[in-house]
Amino acid sequence: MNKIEHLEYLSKLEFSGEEKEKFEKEFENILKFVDEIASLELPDGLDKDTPITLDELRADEPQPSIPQEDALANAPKQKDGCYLTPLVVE
Amino acid sequence: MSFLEQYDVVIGLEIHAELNTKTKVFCGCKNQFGQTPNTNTCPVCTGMPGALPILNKHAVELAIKSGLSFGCAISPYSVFERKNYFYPDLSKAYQISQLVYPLCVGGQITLDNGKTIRLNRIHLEEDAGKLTHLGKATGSLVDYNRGGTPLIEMVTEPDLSSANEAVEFLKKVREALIFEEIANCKMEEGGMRCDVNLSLKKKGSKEFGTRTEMKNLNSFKSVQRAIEYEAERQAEVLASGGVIVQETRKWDDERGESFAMRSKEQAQDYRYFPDPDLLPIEISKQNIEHIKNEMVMLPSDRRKRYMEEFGLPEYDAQILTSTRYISDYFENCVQHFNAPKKISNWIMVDLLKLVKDQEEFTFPVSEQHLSTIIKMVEEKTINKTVGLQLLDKVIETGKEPVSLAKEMNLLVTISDEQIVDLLEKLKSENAKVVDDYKKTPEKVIGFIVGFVMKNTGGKANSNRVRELIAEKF
Amino acid sequence: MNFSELTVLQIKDLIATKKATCEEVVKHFIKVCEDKKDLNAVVEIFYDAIDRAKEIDQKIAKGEKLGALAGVPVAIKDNILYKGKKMGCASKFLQGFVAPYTSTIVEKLLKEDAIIIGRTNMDEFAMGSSCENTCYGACHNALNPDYVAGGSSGGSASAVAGGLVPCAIGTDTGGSIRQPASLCGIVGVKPTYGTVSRFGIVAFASSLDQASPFTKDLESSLYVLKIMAGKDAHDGTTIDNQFQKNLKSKYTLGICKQLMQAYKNASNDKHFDETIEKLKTKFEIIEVDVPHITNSLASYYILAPAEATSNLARFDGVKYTRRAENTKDLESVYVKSRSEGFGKEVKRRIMLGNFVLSSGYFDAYYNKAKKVQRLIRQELKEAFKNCDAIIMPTTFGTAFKLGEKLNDPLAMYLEDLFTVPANIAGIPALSVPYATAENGLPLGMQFFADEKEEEKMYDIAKTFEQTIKGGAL
Repeated sequence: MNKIEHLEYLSKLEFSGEEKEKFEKEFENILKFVDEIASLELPDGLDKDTPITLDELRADEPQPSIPQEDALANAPKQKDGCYLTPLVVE
Repeated sequence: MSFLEQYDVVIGLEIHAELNTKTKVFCGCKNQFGQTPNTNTCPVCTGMPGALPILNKHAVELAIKSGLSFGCAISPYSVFERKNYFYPDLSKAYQISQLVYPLCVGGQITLDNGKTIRLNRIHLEEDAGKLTHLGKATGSLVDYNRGGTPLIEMVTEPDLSSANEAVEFLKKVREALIFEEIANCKMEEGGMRCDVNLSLKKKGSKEFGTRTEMKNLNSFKSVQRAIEYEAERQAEVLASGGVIVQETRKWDDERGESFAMRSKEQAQDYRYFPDPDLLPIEISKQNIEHIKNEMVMLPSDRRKRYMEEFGLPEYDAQILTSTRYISDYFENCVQHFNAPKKISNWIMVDLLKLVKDQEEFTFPVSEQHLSTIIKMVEEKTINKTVGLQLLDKVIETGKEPVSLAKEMNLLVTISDEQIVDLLEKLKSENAKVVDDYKKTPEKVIGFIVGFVMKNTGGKANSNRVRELIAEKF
Repeated sequence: MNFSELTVLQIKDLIATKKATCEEVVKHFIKVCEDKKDLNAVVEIFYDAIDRAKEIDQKIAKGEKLGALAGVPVAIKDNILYKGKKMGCASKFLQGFVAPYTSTIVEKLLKEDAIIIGRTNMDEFAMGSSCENTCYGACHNALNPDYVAGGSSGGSASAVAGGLVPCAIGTDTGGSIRQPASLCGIVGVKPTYGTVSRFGIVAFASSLDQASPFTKDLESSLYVLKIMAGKDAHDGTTIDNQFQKNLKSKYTLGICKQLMQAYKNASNDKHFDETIEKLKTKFEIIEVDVPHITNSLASYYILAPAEATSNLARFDGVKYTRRAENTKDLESVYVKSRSEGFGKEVKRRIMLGNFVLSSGYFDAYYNKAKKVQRLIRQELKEAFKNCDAIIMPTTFGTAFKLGEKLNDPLAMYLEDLFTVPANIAGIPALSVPYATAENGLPLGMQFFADEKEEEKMYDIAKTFEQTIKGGAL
């Protein structure tokens, strides 16, 4: 599997043939640029960020929900109070 | 079972359980669903642009509690990650879960046969929404009411080797989660689900076979049947010279068979990375101590205690620990009146028969009232028959048993003098009784007590009657 | 009186002292927005601002207590939600989207009686450094319409520079406020990460995004920033920034060796050196070493796309965004809607993000970049032990011509070299205009300070302005 095609699949995007060619070239340049990171030698001990404590988390107390019409206000398609998609095949 | 004989079955489980919180894991919407679609949602759980997850403290505590129940190590540093994939039931197109730094690591559960099943981890994550499929012409409906419900995912090592072991394991997990009030585990409502990873290993060989995964089994019976079916299927494939394909299979409970789910053209690549909206959390020793202090004794430990300390038979101990509620009820009764076996009898014989819904109930009488009634019977201020009458009345009125018994005139109200008068009367009318008593008291004592009872309408305290007989005869 | 020449604080005082009515101020700015429509800076005027203005005037007439921004018109970038108003992230994909809730920062501005007057142009989903990647058409620099306004918050910058509004809100992920502020000759700031809530702002790279104001002057900038700041229950990454006043009578400025080298390699500009000479009378100037700071840019172009790819996955043609026509199944709804909806630069970054997160590359790119980020943080922390702020140009040069870099994404990325380190390190940074280049366009000077040292940073900038007086615009 071609790299760009795999990324198209993960991204849920598709490029036309011409676009793809141009994109591939640009992409290679960008990758060359970010490659400096991959080749860096780094000291140990850089694996973690500063955590917050358990007590800083949200208390388990209900807050009001929003009305159904607000939830669906921007949906391109809806039915019976739900977002409507083409049939999902498992 | 012919083909299977040459193989050991290797099973690992992934168990999901919905946590008992008031709100969802990353927003303040209520942790309940089944109402009108998309009415229990907010910008966060519908994944609206600009909305951010805010972690529920209690969900973290419950996940830690589950870890403590199964002997896991609690991670001092824990991270939430995004599992990225497109699916309409996933509002943000990623599920917030944990990968590298889960809340709980390791742990184990011991089966009745003494075999130890190791846990790999327990982590906290969010549930997806619900899809309803209406058909090709209309499409599928998406409802996010359930989206964002807190789940723990518990992953075992591949230590299980039969359907029976798997089911026993699941029952033990369920029992503990319910007991600690971590999760309701209502399997028929999807409150506890199980994925089964299964492979075969040639007997004596060290090499594992290719495994398949069966998703979302939500009853013990379907777990049992799905495992049996899959082990047999794999053995047959191998026996006929075929190879096992690594795939996800769906169990069809009605047809009693599983089938491969539409295989993706490309392998899944979830691109996990730490969720930048949620900072890592630090779990301190104090946090863990605090949670430990809220924990109760687990059912297996309680059974042991009931048998060893209270001297109950195993049968009683089993029933009394079948739910946290019954067990706590029983222990509270014992606190009020220390007669475990008597209390056990009353609960098992007289109370449980009053309960219609075996899954969810509370006894219609408080622990204090029940213990009082039992104590009255044991101290013979009433007899058992009257005790049961009194129980009915207490249930009906909710009144305090002693005062109620007085009100109903059930109490033993015969004075010593009345008893002595009766005894004297008997002595004067029936001299033979006095003689018989002197020779063989055990032969006539019943008769004498019966005489007093008959003449007092059964309200005399039989113990006291015996004492007075000894004095006067 | 030309309100367009006044600062936020001046307008606020005029209204509070009844020298101008809020209504006339708002009507003036609406008129300028209409007159300068061709700049493409303000993409929608909220005409109900006039009603709001009348309400504020009523309040003043009644002598009611006024908010800290009473009557001051503010424009917001097109990625900030204000309930009931359209919000489009300058993307074809989101045209027609109406905000279902209000962002925390807009709530805060409204609470202080500010008047939200319209929304401003930007690079699509805040990705870009020229405000040319936009479905509304490129934004022009108010100082010279042949030139770009910078990006991504180009609309906000140009609107303030052109007197369309006294204050506009932008967002800064890698320099998206400071670079356009520099190119438009105004003040732009990025506060310490977590100072301003991100709730209700469409995320680009969650761990780097911060919103803040564009103003003409330093005093107004800090004033509005403080109003926007604060820990927010809807954003778990917010902090309690107290804006501590660790002010000094004499400050030490650091010149970063590594960044200066990069600047000298690419620019012949003498303004910076000349300015530093002038500063020596008021500041102590030292050289500081931040060995990995130039790696900020490459880490940024790994981390930001990685987060963005996940943040933008929710735009899928199902819930809020336009759905493509003629789709045959769910997959084609996803692919077609996204391919039609997103612009070129956004697609490029989504693909890049998926590349660095994908299996096999994650450790080499994402994880490594994350470590570089932590290292740079440590190095800067160390540098701030020796100096109060680090001084550098905001950009390599002045604004460039429209279209000049549009076909060279990498050249466009390099625009961010001096601004990105502040986002990577989470520290505050401020851009102040300081000189005019030969083409008549402004140059900006940038200051980095240690986290939560905004007060000191502004105080240094004030001293800087006083010292170079005459050279500034």
